[in-house]
Order: sequence, then structure tokens, then C-alpha cells
Amino acid sequence: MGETPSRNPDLLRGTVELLILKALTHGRQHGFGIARWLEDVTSDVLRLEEGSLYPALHRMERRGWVESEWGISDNNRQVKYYRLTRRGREYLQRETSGWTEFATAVFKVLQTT
Amino acid sequence: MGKDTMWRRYLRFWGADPPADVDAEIDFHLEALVQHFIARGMAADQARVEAARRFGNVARVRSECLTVDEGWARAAARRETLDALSQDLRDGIRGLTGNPGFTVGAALILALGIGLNTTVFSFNRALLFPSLPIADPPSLVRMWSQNLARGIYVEPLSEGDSADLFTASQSFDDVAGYVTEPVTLTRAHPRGGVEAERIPAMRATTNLFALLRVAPVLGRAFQPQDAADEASRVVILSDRAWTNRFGADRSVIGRDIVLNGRPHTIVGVMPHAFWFESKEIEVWLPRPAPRVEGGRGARTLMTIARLESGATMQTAQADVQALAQRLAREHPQTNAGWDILVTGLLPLGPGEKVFFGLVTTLTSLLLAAACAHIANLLLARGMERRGEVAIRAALGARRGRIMRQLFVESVALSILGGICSLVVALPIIAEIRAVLGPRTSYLSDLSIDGVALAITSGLTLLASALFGLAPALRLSSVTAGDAIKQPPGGPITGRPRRPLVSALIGLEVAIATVALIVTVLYTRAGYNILAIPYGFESENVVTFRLDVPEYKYSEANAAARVLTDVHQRLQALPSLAAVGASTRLPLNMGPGLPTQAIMLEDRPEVAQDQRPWTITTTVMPGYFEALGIRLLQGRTFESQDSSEAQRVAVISRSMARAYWPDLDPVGRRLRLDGDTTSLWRTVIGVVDDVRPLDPTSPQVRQTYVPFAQSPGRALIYFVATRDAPLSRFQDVRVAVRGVDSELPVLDLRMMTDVISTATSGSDMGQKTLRVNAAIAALLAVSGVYSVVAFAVARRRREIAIRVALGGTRPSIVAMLLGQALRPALIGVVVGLVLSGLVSRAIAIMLFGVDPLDPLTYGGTAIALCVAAVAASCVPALRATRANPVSALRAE
Repeated sequence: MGETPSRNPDLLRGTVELLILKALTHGRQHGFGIARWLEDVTSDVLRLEEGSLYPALHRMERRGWVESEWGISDNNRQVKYYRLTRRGREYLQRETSGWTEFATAVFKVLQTT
Repeated sequence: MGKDTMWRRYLRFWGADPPADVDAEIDFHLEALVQHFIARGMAADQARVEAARRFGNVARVRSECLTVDEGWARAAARRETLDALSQDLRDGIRGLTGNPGFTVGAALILALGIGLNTTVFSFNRALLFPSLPIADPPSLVRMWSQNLARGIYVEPLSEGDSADLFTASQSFDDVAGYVTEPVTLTRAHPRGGVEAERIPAMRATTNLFALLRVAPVLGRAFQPQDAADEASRVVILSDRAWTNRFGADRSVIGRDIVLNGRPHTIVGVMPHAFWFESKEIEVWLPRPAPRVEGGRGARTLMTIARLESGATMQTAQADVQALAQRLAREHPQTNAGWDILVTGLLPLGPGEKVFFGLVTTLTSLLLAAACAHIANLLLARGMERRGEVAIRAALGARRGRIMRQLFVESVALSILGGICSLVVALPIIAEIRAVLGPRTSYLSDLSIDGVALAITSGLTLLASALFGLAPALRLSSVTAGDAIKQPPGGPITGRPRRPLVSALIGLEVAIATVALIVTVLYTRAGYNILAIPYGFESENVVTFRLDVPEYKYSEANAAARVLTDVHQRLQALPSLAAVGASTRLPLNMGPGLPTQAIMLEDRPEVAQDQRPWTITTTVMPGYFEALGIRLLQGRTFESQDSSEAQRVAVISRSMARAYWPDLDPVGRRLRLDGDTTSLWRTVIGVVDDVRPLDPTSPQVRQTYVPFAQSPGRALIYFVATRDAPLSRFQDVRVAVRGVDSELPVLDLRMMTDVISTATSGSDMGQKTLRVNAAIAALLAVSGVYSVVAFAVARRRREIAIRVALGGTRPSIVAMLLGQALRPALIGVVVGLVLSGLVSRAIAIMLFGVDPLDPLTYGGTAIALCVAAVAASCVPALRATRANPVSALRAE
């Protein structure tokens, strides 16, 4: 999702969940780790408030896309890790192809104008 | 499932404290951010500010997270409760399906118990509280003539008696009289000619509708002058006639219709829901109030009254009783020996009343027995499951949870039984309706009574819930320690005291005894009745009725001519073996046949109320031959017995025996009440008795007179065919049409159908009783079985030790049997005493059977005892055969 062509952060408000899911495809991660991954892959373009990840994560957990467990962080602290569930992975796949189609279409329109 | 368990484990592990969790997450993030910025070379203060900026509004994040989590926690809690409930249900159902024998048996018992009770209660409710389109039905009563000496339980009143009731009665607000008789409706046919149709009608005194407190929806009710004035002929239509014949046209009031050949003005239309006596009635005609001059010999007027407020059926009965006695003194010729009976809307015979009471009581007892049985089964099963329950309790199942599961099992069982009960109740209700249909319309709305079903099911539910709870309570207090200390077989010493179970067994056996004895007696009575020949043949006999309308043949002779012509045309047909006709069916279909006092020429005058009597039937020649009624002496009627010839009569065997016991009746003369004094009829023959439907009734003193000498307007024909009788229906129609093409052929059917309709009532009663008795016996035997099996299971260790110590098998079996047989024997004794009381009460219905018949009582008692012993022996013998070592080790 890092190659998302848009530069306008407003467009991305509803896609935070999608980005989180993508972040979790690499394995379990805590909220701080997800924020760092997003920062890296988007080269800091997407400046979202990192706190907004948490309501999103909790909602997603309730929907069954992710599950959480408490673990120990690298610096030996109690931290909650999130992990992608099968349903989350399926949702991600579905939404990614939908998003790509949409983006391609918009891109085409913008090119021709 | 994975998600749920994770969540629950997490909640439990963290003490289900979402706020703390959210705070921990946020704190971690903020701190990590600070460290992150410091690592990039920021000062600690600046890093903290930057971290807060990057994170955003902490309070909002926190509250958003909590909103999500708490909503989830609530849903999870709800889900957990639901899960527990559905788990209970699943466990309950698994408990039931895991033991299909128990479940099927119990559900079957409950289904029968509830089903039969629902039926009987529905019937009783319909009987006692009929839903009628009439105001306050309980204050309506009917009055009947009764002459028990002649075996007449109810018969309508005579015009004269009725008139006295109208004027002299103290207990009634109002009294109305009516007769139901069809009228002929004629209309011009659209394609020319005239179309005639017989339609059901009622002639009623003009106060009938006011008495019933029903007013027409259109037009007016009858007024007294409607009946007084012969010239003004008026009619009131039923809603049905109005809709079907006049298309619900509101302008119909004031129009004329032709009834019995004369125009009648329509003055009113009754409401849609209204009906009285029969839903078939299409028109009501006014009739004058009964007059004393109307005579007292012919009892044909139906009489209904509204009780005055404060009067009861009993006070009214006392009131009319006094009147009847006065009438008997004043008019001994017609009224000696006659009572007036007050009944509710549906008159039941004395036997029927007891019978319905009996069936009601027995079915109620059956339900009690069924509940007792289920209770026993649940108790026994509960004890078997002590081990299971103790282990579950040890594993942490809560007491409430265990009780809930056992409770759910009982409830599920009751519901299952309730549903299955409809399978039992529906066909029985259908049958009752079929049986009662011809007698009265008052129960035509009879259906499964929701209230009755709810009450019976509720009672059963309550009973099984209570009984299900008893073991549940006892079991749920079992601790793991108890279960280990005390083996499931129970303590080795001591006689188990279970008075409840013993009482239940006793009850079941007592009920079974009563049900069996009553059923055997009643069935034997039924066979006795069947064994009495009807006295006539019904095979291959076709019957139909002709009713010659007065408007078309006003001359009595002309009407008689029509009936005779039809008879002669039929006689001429080669396909018919014999053709006869009479004024009534050979079976007594009504509540009682009208009897007639007679005078015997060779008898001196006797006291009025001991006068000889007979039932007179007018017949066409060929009647005895068509119905195969045997001629014993003399001859039957022939065409020579015409109106000009000598007056003759044929009498029945019982009549001959009653009045000329040792003499030859042929040639003797008698005079019927109402005949002119000079008119003596000579007996020319004696035929066999035709028994009435109820053989206990003494109405077999029959006198037949020839139609030619007592002509009338209506006859029932009997046609004996040589072959396929159904194809003769057409012959009948052709013959009648040949005489008068407009004359309707009524009630054309096979004689065998007439009989089966007439006897279906007692058939049904017998069936109900037999089903009752079979269930009761089954319950009793399986009750005895289960109690012994249970006792044996409890005392396996004790038995094993006895066997190991050298106890003989017979002694052990005897010990076990004693336990179960004592309550069974007490039950049998109680049942015998109850049966004695019950059968004496229904003695009137036990035709030819001693209500205290020792064979029936002894046989039933022995059969039940043998069954109880057999049921006990199976588990007892099995127990003694078990290897004592393994029995001991098993625990």
C-alpha cells in the first residue's frame, strides 16, 4: 500500500484500517511498531496522528480481522501485540484489489484531463 | 470460537479491566515515541512534546477505545449468557436423545395424558359453556316430557302442557315454543316452470327472539299479531338465506316469497352470527302461542325458557314438578305417569351424564398417573446420574447450572409431550363432532380448546418441573466428597425409605384397576348389546324419505295417493326384492319414541297410570319383508287391508307376551288412544321384536297399523335390492319423478349407513375407555418395573454381599419383590373398592352385566398382580445373577 499514488492525506482517512492490515501481514506487531512501519514505507508522507491507530485496532479486533495478545517488547515491557486473522487477511485481499481498480480508474481520469 | 476463547481468557486473566489495558497500550506508545525521538538526537523535553504531538489527543483515543471495548464486553457477556442457555438446551436435549427409550416412552405417556385430557375438557367446556350467539345461555333451559316407566327420558311437550307452562310457571321470565320442520320454497324458474325446494325452517312463538335477546339486523322481529292474524303471513330470513338467495339485498324487506304454496312477506333478516337449534335453518315463521285446547296427547312442541333472576335449574324443576303432578291429576288420560324435566340447552340422557363424568374422571386420573409416572422416571433417572453430577460439580460446574440443566430436561419433555398430544386430541375431537353432529348443533363449534390445552400442558409442565426439580435439588447438593464416600449404590445397610415413590406406584395401580374394570364391564355390556339382534336386515337395503307438501296436495287423500303410487311403482321394478315403508326408522334414533296408551278389549279398565301402552308405527305392505322382520304368527298386511276393510294391526312379540302372556293374540282386539270408541283393531299377526337402539329401554311393545287405514303425508321407504344396491338409487329417483317431478327425495342412503351413524356414539365411548385402560395398565406395569429396577440398582452392593455371604437367590428375589409389590397390592385393593363405587353409578349403562361381576374384578386384580410380579422379577433376577465380585468392585 506504500505505493499509493495519492498525496492528499484526506483521501486516506478510511484506509487506515487497510494500512494496518497490510502492516500486520509481516507478522504480529504492536501499535508503535505499526506506526513506525507506516512512517518508513510512506517515507513519512502520511502524517497521521498515531493515537488514531488504537481505536481502529480495537474496532478491527471486534470485527475479527485482528486478534491481540499481551507479550514482552524488545525493551522488556508488557505490550499488546496484534496479529492478522484469516478473516482479516481475506478482507485485505478483497479490499486491495478493489482499491487498486479504483485508484487506476481515478489515475486514468486525472491523466486524460 | 478461537477469538471468543482468546477474549475470554484475556478478560479473565486481566480481571476484565479494559481501561487499564487501554492506558497501558497508550503509555507504552508514548514512551516508545519519546525514546524514538531521543534516539534521533532530541532533547528529552522536546522529545516528550513531539511525542504528544505525533500521538494526538490521548483522552479522545482513550475514550474511543473504551467505547469499542465496553460495547464488546457487553455483547460478550450477553453472548456468554446465551451460550450457557443454549448449552443447557443442548445438554438437555442430549440427555433426552441419549436415552431414547426413556424419552419416547415419557413423551408418549404425556402425549396421551395431555391429549385425552384436552379433548375431554374441550368437550366439557363446549358442553357447559357453549359459545352461542345468544345472550346469557346458562339462564336458558328446556322443558321436556318424561315418562320413565315407558323408558322415555326426554320428549317434547304437548301443546296443552306447554300452554299451562306459559301461564302457570313461576320460575321463568319468558317461555317460548317452537318446532323445526322443513317448508317448501317455490320460485319461478328463469327458464320457465316452477322450482320447488325443501328448506329447513322453524316455526316459533313470536317471543322467541326476544327471549334469546337477539334482534334482526334488518327489518323487525315477530310481533304477537303476526301469529294471531292468519291473513298476514310473514317470514324472517337467516343471514344465510338472505345472502345466498337474495344476494344480501337490503331492499328485500317487504318482498314476498312463496312458502308451502302461499306468499309470505319478508319482515326481517337475522344477524350473521345468529343461529338457534341448527345452523341450517333458513327461515323463521311465527306460530301462535300454545293453547290449552291444543290437546295433550301429541308431544311435539319444543319448549325453551329464560330463568328468572334468582331462579335456578333446581327451583325451576321443583316448580314444574308441581305443575306436572297437577296435570297428571287433572288429565289422567294423557298425563298420568308423565313428568316434566328441566334441562340445560343440551339434554343428556342419565347414562350419558354418568358416562361423560366417568370418562372425564378417568382421563383426569390418567393424567395424574402419567405425571406420577414421569415423576418416578425422572427420580429414578436422577439417582442414576448422581455420579455424573458429582463429577461435574467437582469440575467446577455451578449448582445453579446443574439444576438448570435437569430442569430444562423436564421442561423439554413436557413441551414434547404437549406437542405430540395434538396428534391424539385432533382425531378424537373430529370423531366427537361427527358423532354429535346429527344430534345437536350446540357442539358444532367444538374444537381443540386452547384454554384446555394450555391448562393441561401447564399442569403437566408444573408437575414434571417439580418432580424434575426434586432430584435436581437433591443431586446438586451432592459434593464430590459425598460422591466418593458414598458409592452410587447407596449405603449398604438400611431399607431405603421412599414413601413418595411407593405412593405414586400405588396410585398408578389403583387407577389402572379402576380403568380396567370399568372398561371390561362396559365392553362386555357393549358385546351384550351387539349380541341382541336388531330384529331386521340392513344389508342391501336402500332407504329414503318422502314428505308430501301440503300446499300442493291439500287433500289428505291426495297426499296418501302420492305415497302409495310411489310404493306401487317401486314394487313393479324387477330389480327390487321387496319394498316397504313406515312412519319411522326401525332404530330408535331420537331421545325417545312417543308411546301411546291403548285399551284391550278383553281387559277390564285399569288405573290410568298403569294402562297398557304401545308404540305405534304405520307401515305399507311389504315393510316386514323388505326389512326381513320375521313373522311369528298369523299374517302381515296385504293390499286387501284397505280403508274400507276391517281395521287390523300386527304386534311385536314383546307386546304379545306383555298383554297376552299365555294366550294366542291373533284375533284379539285393541283400541289406540285417540281412535273413536267404536273402532277396534283386530290383531292379525305377531312379528319379531325390532329392538330400539338402547336395548335397556322397554320400548319393544310395538303395534303396526296399515297405511291405508291410517294415511299420512310422510313416509320412510325401505327397498331391499337383489344386487348392487347403490345403482338402485337411480331407480328410486326415476320412480318418484314418475309420480311427481317436483317431489324431493330426502335422505336417500343405505340402511347400513343409518345404523353405523346411530351406533357410532357408543363405539367412540368404548374406544376412549379402552385407550384409557390400556394406557393405565401400561403405566402401572412399567411403574412397578421401574421401581424394582431402581431398587435393585440402588442395592447392588447389598445384593452382592448377600449372595457372597450365601443368601439364596429366591430369598433375595422375594425381598426385592416385597418392596414393589406392597404398594401395588394396596393399589389393587383401593382400585377394587373404587371400581365398585364407579360401576354402581354407571349400572344403567352396563346392559346385562353385573356391576360387581366377581369374574371381572377377580380377573383384573389377578392380571394386574401377575403383571406386577413379572415386571418386578426381571430386574430382581438379573441382579441376583450378577457376579458378586464385579458388583462390589464396580463401586
